[in-house]
Amino acid sequence: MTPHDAFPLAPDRALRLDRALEREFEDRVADSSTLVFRVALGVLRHREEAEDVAQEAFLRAHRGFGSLRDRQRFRAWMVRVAFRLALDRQRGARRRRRHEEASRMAAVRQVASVEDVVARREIQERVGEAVDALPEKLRIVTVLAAIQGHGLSEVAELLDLPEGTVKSRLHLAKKALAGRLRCLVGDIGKR
Amino acid sequence: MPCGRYREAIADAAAGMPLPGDAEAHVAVCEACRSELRDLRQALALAETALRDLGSEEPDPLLRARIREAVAEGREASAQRRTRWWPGWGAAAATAVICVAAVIAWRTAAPSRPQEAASVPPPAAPLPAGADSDDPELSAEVSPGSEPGRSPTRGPDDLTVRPARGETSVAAPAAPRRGETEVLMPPGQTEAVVRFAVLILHERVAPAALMDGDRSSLDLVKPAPLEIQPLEIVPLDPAETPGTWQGVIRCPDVSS
Repeated sequence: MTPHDAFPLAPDRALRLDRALEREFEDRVADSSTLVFRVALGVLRHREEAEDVAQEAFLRAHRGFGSLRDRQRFRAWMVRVAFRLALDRQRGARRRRRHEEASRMAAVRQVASVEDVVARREIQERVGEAVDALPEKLRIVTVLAAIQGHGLSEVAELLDLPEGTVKSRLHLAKKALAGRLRCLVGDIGKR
Repeated sequence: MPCGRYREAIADAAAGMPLPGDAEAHVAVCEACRSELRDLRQALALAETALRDLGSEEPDPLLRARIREAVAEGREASAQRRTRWWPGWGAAAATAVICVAAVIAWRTAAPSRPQEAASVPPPAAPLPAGADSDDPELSAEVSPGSEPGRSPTRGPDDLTVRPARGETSVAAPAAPRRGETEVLMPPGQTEAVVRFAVLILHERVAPAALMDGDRSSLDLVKPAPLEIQPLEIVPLDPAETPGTWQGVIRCPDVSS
């Protein structure tokens, strides 16, 4: 009797499982890469860095994919991973990016015809700073709610929270953002 | 001025909540609060627009390919790391095999070391027919040279006590010096082994009696008064033989 007779499924079982997992992982990447990118972009407001974070998040996900208990929660898991990685990267890169942004803004201002672009960038920057100042719980709700196609129920599902909690946090976030950005409205009105 | 009372309600309204009746009435007649509400709503609209812009950005079409590539590279790097580890594991496994082989070789050879056991006495009583001197039931055995019929010779330096088969793994002990007794003891059984050794040295008990299941411990039922001589137990290197206490008993001459 050969080992194959004794264990008819044993020899390539692990290999087949790995292949099945790999296929499933690729499907998950296709399904959630845009979401992961947007979560990272919502935090970092920088495309290349957001893409780097997405890549890193999927690399980590791949390492733990086999041991993930509920793979149906993959998108929610990835949102948390990407959000956390983006926050970490932002803390490290904030100073450098401010310097880069200041240089870029100075160059753009030299061209009078792009005043609108300047104004838009300034708004984005100040909105970004206001979002950065939110507590993390409010921040991730804000980022996820701003992603195209996301309603309260999608955000609640991704964060594994009751809709009421998401609604409440989103309301607090909006109030905080409005309060922080009110002066921005005044600045725009003076121009 | 009552405007302060409605500040929170105005902020809530800017974030999308309906204004309570009294606040609504106030805002209707208060230009400052109306302006406040308008500015807050405008600020929030700016924020939502900016956030929606970010939230609708499409990733680079090559992002998925980059991710696939990175995952594949990570997988490859991981496989390489595993490959690099194998020689280390192989060396460790080879060392373990060599150690086990050495122990087995030593244990196999131990009973037939005539030079080392030149002065080893035979047991006080002959081994019964069929008695197995390597009986696993025993916690210790006396060896070597248990030839029946030989008259015992006494002496503190002629006893070797080893752990029973399968009790613990042991390493080859250092050769005892003249006047020392070579002993390997399983953890926690030092006293038992020492007592056993002393009993034999005093000829209070015949090793064969202990080894014979049919006459089990008959000689121990009525033990003779036992006077344990002072012994010095010297650990050789317990750190190198974890799980096994290896040492030398320096025993004064108890044969006199």
